[in-house]
Amino acid sequence: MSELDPLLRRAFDAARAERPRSGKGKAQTLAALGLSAATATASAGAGGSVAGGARLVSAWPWWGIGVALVVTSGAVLWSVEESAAPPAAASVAAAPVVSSAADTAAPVLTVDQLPNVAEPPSVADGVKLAEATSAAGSTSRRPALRPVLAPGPSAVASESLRDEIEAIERVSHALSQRRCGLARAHLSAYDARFPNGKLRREADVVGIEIAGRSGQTDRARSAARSFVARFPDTPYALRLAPWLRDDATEGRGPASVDMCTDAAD
Amino acid sequence: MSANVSRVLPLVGVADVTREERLRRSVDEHYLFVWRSLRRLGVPESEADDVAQETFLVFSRKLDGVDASAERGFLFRAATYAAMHAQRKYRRQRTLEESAAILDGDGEHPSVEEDAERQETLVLLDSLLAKLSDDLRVVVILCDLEEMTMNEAAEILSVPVGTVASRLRRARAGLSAGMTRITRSMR
Repeated sequence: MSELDPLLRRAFDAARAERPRSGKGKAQTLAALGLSAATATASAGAGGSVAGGARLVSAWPWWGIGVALVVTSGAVLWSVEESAAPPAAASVAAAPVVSSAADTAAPVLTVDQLPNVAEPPSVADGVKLAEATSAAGSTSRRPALRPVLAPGPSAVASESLRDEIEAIERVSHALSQRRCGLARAHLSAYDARFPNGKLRREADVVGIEIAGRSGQTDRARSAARSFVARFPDTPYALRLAPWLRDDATEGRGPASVDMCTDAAD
Repeated sequence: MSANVSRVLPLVGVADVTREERLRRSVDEHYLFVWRSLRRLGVPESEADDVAQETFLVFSRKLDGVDASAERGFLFRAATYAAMHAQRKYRRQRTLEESAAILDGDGEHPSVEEDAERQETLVLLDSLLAKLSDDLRVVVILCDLEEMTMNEAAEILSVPVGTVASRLRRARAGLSAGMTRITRSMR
């Protein structure tokens, strides 16, 4: 490049050196892909909130971290689903109360510590599920599955971006497994915990996807159009494209979309 | 491993782990490349993270059909498409006056003089890149900014190496001429 104008060369150098101002975008991308943000964000040097992830990276081989995270995630999802199973007695509705433990490093599991079905979910990764009986006389066919954040100062203090990403990640993960019912339950938990969250738009979009992929095509299309009208500049329009088209009929989504296997939920 | 554990493990197929690892590695290795490419393709800094995310979502959906050795090329093409789509909504052809106004605002911060100069250089570069045709601009991004070889750029763009060379020559000439014109007008 010796023939380049010196000013142009300087401009190229400046362009090569440009970086995102934070690692948030990368972390959000990982979350949108249903991946834990902790490890990769650590490699991006995003900062202290993921220090636990950074320690994991140095101590574990990549595949080990992947297995641990996915197993942990899977165990939690499985546990939530187990808890969310309809109760035997119609008069008792299970209402899992989700309370987040204080911010701690990502859990590191040995083989012996892998979650056991006999263990309470709280052992799995610090997410505590407590069942509470509903008011007497509840006859709703569907149990009250909305996980509700247990109120308290520690819960409020833990509402960090990382917690929020993890909450959305649980929704995305369930959706990626084509389990709309579970995704909806996780989204309700997110809504309750982060009513004004930084990932609000992501939550709205994934809510539309849940509706669409569970067969509520008209509702998804209407919500998608409303969303794009409200945020005309949004890049989410790409993601919502299947629901903005007219090639889907109620109960059957667009051809390019994998519908949930529990669409009847 | 207990029998109970085996009830959990089916949720985690080997293929899923491999796929997740590949996705994670790709984000780790190529996020900055995608983000920087989007910036030079005209996506504003405030939107670059969102469009990068869309790019990787597209990549995720097509993952099984993308050869591991061709990930970078796929991501660049996806980023180019996403940027074109986003441009209709985001991209404003800022005049130098508008850019100067933005930089004046930044200059109020006492410690950003150097950063403001760098930003000014980037704004200038972006204004020149915006004047190039798409064909020339992507060649500059790949060869001059991402420092790929002409062979690599040719492979990504699916054009002959000679075409890359000639486009790069024309692009550089256009950029140099534009740079000279602007610096003269600023004196």
